[in-house]
Amino acid sequence: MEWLEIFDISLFRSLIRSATPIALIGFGAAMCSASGVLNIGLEGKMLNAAFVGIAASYYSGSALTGFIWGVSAGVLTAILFGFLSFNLGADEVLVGLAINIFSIAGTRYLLETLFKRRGFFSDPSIQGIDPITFDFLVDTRFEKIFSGYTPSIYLVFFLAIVLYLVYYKTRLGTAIRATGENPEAAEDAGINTLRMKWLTVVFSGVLAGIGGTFLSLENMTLFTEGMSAGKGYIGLVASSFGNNTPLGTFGASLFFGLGDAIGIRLQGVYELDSRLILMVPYALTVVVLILIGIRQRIRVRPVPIPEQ
Amino acid sequence: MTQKNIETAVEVKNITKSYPGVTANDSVDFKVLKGEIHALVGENGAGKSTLVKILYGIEQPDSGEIFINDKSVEINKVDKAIELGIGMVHQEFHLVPSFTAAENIGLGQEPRNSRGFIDWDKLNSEVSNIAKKYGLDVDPKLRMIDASVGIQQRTEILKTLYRNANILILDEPTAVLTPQETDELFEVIRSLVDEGKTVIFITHKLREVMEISDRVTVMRDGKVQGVSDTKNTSPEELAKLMVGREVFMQVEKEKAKPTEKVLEVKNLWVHDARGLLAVKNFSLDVHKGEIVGIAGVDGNGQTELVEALSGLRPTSKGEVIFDGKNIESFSPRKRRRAGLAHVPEDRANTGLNLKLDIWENLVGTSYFRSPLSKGGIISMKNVVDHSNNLREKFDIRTPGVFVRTGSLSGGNQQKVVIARELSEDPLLTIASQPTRGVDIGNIEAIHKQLIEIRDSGKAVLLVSAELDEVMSVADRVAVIYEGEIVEWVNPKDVDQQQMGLYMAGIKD
Ligand SMILES: Nc1ncnc2c1ncn2[C@@H]1O[C@H](COP(=O)(O)OP(=O)(O)OP(=O)(O)O)[C@@H](O)[C@H]1O
Ligand SMILES: [Mg+2]
Repeated sequence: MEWLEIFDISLFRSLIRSATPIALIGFGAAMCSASGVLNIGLEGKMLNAAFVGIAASYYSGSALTGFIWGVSAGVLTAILFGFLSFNLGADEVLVGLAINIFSIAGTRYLLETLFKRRGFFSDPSIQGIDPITFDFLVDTRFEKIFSGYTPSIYLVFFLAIVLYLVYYKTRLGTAIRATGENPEAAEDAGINTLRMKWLTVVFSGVLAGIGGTFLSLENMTLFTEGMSAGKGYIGLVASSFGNNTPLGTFGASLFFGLGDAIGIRLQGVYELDSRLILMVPYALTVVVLILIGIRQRIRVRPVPIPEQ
Repeated sequence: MTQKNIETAVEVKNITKSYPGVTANDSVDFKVLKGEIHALVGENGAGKSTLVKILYGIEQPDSGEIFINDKSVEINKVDKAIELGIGMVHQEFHLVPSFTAAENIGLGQEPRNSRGFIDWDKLNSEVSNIAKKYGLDVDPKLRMIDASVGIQQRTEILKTLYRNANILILDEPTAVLTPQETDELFEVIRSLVDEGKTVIFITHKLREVMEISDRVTVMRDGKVQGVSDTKNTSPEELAKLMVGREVFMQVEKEKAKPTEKVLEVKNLWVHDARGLLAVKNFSLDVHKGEIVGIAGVDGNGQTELVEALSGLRPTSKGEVIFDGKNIESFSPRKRRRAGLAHVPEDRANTGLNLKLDIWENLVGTSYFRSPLSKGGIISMKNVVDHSNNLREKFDIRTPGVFVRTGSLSGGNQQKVVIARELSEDPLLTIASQPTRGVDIGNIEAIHKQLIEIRDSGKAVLLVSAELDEVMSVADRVAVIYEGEIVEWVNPKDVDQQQMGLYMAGIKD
């Protein structure tokens, strides 16, 4: 069958690339949700990081400097989120929304004032982050599968395993989960629940920062307005679909990545309208949300009432 | 002067703790000897929970001193209390629902292997060992969502023992237990004391004080009223010290004069949250002018039955006829408007919004009605007057109605629910565990009110796990077991033992 031919190695590579930013956000969101924080501000954190990353790379001419500044931007936005919601007691959801809206406007403003550009910014002096090639894989049949990705992609696989271990096998993991499920029980056990929440929020800021620089310095070397394009929300849905567990979130992210990758390929094969293809991730999100709803329903199946 | 031969485990001197408008502890002196079971009793709001929260480092006293094992200490956080060997089981359980018993017990102190990972097998076996040692029957791998209240409580106790507590504080541990579970708990407490532990035990049930404690301290209005050896006192004397007046523990009432049918439940089937059948082919009638009781061990479908009648849970099959109308499709509010009031068993989650002020909870079901609202706008003056009337009538102890409901003592929160539900003069009151956590003086008052409702020609459906309560207040009683009625009894002609058999599902 002709359409089966799209399932090849390049589809796999494109899947992994699409899944990476979603997984980075998803992991952060999963840890936040596990500790009882609904962090919808990840979209804004990612966007800020993408912008600051590219600006720093442009001015310094160093990809590493760009990366460090980008991640710092993610973390700072996370600290702002934590300060407003934990220290000042504002509603988490509203703070998250405010951060997202502010980030769109803020990056657009800076784009116009710093670089005198509208819509997007790209420049030869911006240094992107290079892919890593493993010499020992060159010319083996694994080269195409495992070699030549940018660092964040490897990081995602590494994180899936590390977070799994932390989540289920360390005191930190149980402390985070207890904080989210019953803070009083956690406090009773001498766990500082506020510290746990700060920890997961800052961690999600680091990952959103990496995700942002992935967009602007790794996947491409340019910034476009609103380039996070809802990935912060899709990551949130991935974590929810994955029951806020590391491996579940990872699996859900790969699923979104697959949808994205297939969409891109079909565009080539059937010459579909590109605007239709761009819609795929969002349509998938809606499908997943419906699946989450159905899953909750079928968990309880009422036993039949005996006939008299 | 401390006596040298008897060691003290806990001594509290001159502790004072005030909240805005209340002195919860007023120069309290309290002393617990090593190895004793010390009961702490007193009215709702007397300051018992506050005192033990201070001992456990949750609250800080304004002034006063604490000695643990004769050493002066400052307990400024829970960690410190744990370090001093103090453990506490709260009035409301603090468990992580999706965690197993062992995961809850070990939380924060899980044993780790050389690589820093938690050694779950070791934790499970440690928990089994402690459980065995003290006769606390708990499966370490059981998730708390699937555990009965009794098991949850044992898990809470194990939590303290796992942290090597020598002084155990139990805040109203029996309020949510069945009589059998209470007996089992007492066995455990005795075995703890045999192992050299000290137990502080808060309760409203004087029968339990007499049965289990060595000494008893009575509090009222934040002050200690007296301390005595249990064997030298009596329930009557304790009651008088607590309330400051004579309390009649026997309910006085005339014979019921039932008239027309107000509630008719016909072959009702209800599923629970897990999709299992909780109420099976259940039929019952309630008439105006009578109190019908439902007795049974908790968890035999009472919760689901009451939720179905009040409109909080869908019925799966069968009919509910109220005041001549099939109310199947009625929302909870419509049911209320038709004259059906509901005192839910879980005051913290279903009965009240603890974050709101008292007045808001008091008018939560009626604020939209005249005279509380006029033309869609709430009349604050009328609402406040109404709230203050209820506060007085139902003896809710609080500095004012503009106080957060969650800051009330447990028993006073319960009184807020009762006040709201009875304030609308309902045709039928479904009262589920109406006196849980309430002190004897107020139990007497609530029982009187239920009987007054009956005598005014209205009806009451009383669901209670407290056998004494159903048997003394209700006119006829259905014993429920696994969602079905085992037997209808007349409270006057049946003894405790026979009831015990019925409640275990055994019919003669
Ligand atoms: N956090 C708080 N804020 C304000 N007032 C409080 C707070 N905690 C307790 N109080 C008040 O202190 C008094 C004593 O409350 P406490 O909970 O110690 O009573 P209690 O003896 O345990 O009563 P109960 O038998 O009903 O549980 C009450 O009047 C209560 O309203
Ligand atoms: Mg109390």
